[in-house]
Amino acid sequence: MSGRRSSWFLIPARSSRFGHYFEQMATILFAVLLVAGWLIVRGSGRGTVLAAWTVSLVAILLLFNYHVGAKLPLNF
Amino acid sequence: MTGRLGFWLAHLFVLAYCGVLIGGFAVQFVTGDLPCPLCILQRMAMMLVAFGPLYIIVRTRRGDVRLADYAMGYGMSIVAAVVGAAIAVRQILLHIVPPDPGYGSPILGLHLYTWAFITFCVVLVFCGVSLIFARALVPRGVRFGWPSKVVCGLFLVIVAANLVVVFLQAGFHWFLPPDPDRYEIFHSLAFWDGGAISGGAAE
Repeated sequence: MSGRRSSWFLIPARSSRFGHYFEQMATILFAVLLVAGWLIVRGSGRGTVLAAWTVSLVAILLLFNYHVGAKLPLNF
Repeated sequence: MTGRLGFWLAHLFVLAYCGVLIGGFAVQFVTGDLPCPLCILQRMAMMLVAFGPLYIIVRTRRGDVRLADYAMGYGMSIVAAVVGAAIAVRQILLHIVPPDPGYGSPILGLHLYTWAFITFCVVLVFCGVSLIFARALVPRGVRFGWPSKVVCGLFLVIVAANLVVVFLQAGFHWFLPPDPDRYEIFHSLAFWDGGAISGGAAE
């Protein structure tokens, strides 16, 4: 792979005790998205769709927060 | 007439993001650039964005779409696009200081995360315009036929494919490797030489 290889995402975030669970969340999150997509396609009600979409969004924000919280070896 | 236009624009929206996600797969499998965690987050945000028009398409099963459902669909897309744009900007800023070459290979002169940011901006403009003309564009007199089924099926297949691929990449480890240049699951299961876990993948 070309380009810079960054390793910043391996450094535990502020909540190092639980931070490592977030990496594994990528697989789980796609499963949540698949369920949400399935609920939409099968024609679930407005409330169900909104709830599934909101759960997915919050999970993505949590994972993003983990990455934002990680210390970066940028060497400026 | 404009009701039909709104219906097919929703299809075009989902198909466009299907194309972008398939393009991401093409870069991953053809050039060998494995996605980093932020790239994966952007893929997730794209899926969340596409849920909006997908919801509008599926509502046509029950006849004409209500204005509230139309607004909810594109409202979902706007919120998800803002989140996706924030993730893309985060990655752009990580590599903005020269002489950082950026992460992965550039496509048509821009890195994939920059393209992702552009797609999220396009979504914001599209949804804004669609909501301005919402009364005219709400799908009316349309039928949930085979093109709609194909679009919905294709999108779900792409989400499922991402689930499988990211599992292959992350394996059973708590951490993704620092340099995502291999599929950890195969190494964990010792399918080839040096099956030991390395690169910080294990804990």
